[in-house]
Amino acid sequence: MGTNSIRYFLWAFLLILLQALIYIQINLWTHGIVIISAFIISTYPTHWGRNAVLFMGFFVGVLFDAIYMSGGLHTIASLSVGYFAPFLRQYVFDVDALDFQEKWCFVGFNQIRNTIYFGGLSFFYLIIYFSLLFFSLKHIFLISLSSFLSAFLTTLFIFPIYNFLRKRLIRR
Amino acid sequence: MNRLIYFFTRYQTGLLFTFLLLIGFSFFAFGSSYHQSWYFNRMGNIVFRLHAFRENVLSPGKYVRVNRALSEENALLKAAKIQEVRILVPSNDPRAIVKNVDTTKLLNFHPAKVIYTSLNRKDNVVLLDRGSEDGIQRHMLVMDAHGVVGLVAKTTPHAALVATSLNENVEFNARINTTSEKAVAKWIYSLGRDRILLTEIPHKSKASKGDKVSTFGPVGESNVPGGVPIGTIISVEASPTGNYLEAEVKLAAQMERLSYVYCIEVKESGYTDLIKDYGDK
Repeated sequence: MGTNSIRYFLWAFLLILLQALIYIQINLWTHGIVIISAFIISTYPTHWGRNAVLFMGFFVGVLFDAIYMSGGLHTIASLSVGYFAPFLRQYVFDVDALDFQEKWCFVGFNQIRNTIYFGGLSFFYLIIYFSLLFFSLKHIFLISLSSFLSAFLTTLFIFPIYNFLRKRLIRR
Repeated sequence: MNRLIYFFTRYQTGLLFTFLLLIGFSFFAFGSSYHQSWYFNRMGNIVFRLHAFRENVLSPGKYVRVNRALSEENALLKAAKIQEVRILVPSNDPRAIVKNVDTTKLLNFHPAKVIYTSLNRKDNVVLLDRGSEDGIQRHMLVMDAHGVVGLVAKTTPHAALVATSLNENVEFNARINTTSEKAVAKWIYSLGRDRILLTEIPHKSKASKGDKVSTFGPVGESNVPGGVPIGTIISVEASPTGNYLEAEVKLAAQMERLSYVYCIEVKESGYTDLIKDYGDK
C-alpha cells in the first residue's frame, strides 16, 4: 500500500467523520439531504484499479449504513457509484492526457467538468438511495424531486472542498 | 480449466460487483428486523457514542453542561405535571374510569433525550440516551409532552430503541374519549408523518371530527396505562369492508420535533391493588 493510498484513506476517514458529525436534513416539500459518500468514492486515486474502487465503495456504504441504520441502502448506492465512477471519469475527463497519475485524490482542472462529474455521481447515488428507500412506483415524482434537490444540496456542500483541492493542484 | 480461469480473469470486476451487490441486497432484504437487531447489537455502542459526541461537540460551547442540566430538570418538571394522567382500570366495562387517582403510586416517569429519529421509513424508530441501567424496560409506553410517541422495542445498558407510532408494526388499543368506545390505532405509510388510522370503531359509533383519542389501558398482558393522549379525530368514514368505521387521527405528539420524551413504567404492585379495589365495580 503506497503513501498515496494511505493519504486517500485518511481523506476518506475525514469526510466520513464530517458526514457523521454534520448531518444536514432539509424538509421542504420533499426530502433534501447532504450525502457526501459519492464524493468520497469519486475522488479515488487515479492509479487505483476498478476492483479497489468497488471494495472502497462497498466498505464506505457499509459504514454509512452503520451510522444511519439504513439497512443496505447506502451499500447498494455506494457500490453502484464505485462501479460506474471510472466510466464517467473517463467520459468527462481525458484522464490519459493528464500528468497527475500519482496524486492521492483525484480532482480535475476544469471547474465545469468537476461539477458535472461530482454532481452527476451524487445524483446517481441519491436516485438509487431514494428509489430503494421509497421502493414504490407511486412515489416516482417524489423520488426524482428528492434526488435532484439532495444532489443539488450535496454539490453545493462539496463545491468548496473540490474547488480548494483544484486550486492546490493548479498551484503545484 | 484454462477457459474457466480466463473467464474469471476477464470478467473479474463484473463478478466482484455482482457478488458485493448481492451482499448489499441481502442487507436491504433483511433490513427491517435483521438489520435493526444486528446493527443495534453490534454497532449500538459505537453509534451511540458517535451521536453523543456530535451532540456535545456541536452544542453551544461552554454552556453545554449547564444547558444539559437545565434540560434534564425541565424534563423532570414536565414529568411531574404529566403524572395527572388518568388510569383506566381493566374491566369488562370500558367506561370504568377512575378519576383523580394519585398516579405517583402507580406510574413512574423516566425522562430521556432523543438522539436519533427516523421519519422516512415504514418502521420508524427513535433512539434514546437512557437504557436498562436507567430503568428503561422493553414494552414501556413512551410519550412526549403532548402524547404517545411509541413503545420501547429494545434496550441496551445505555440506550433504548423505541418503535414509534409511525411504525407499521406497532398497534395500540385506543379509546375515543367522548364515546368511551374501543378501537385499534395503527399507522400506514401513506398517511404521512402526522396522522394515524383508527380502525375497528363499532358501526353504530357517534364518533365525529374533533373527538380526542387516548390509550385504552391495560388489556390482557399489555401494560400500557390508559388516558395518555394519542390525538384528535379529523375524519370518520366506513371501512372498505363496511363492517366498522375508520377514522383518521392527527397525532398529538410532535414526531418531527422530539427532544425529550418520558418512558412510563407501570408499578405492578400499585396497579394490582387498584384493580382489586375498583376492577369489578
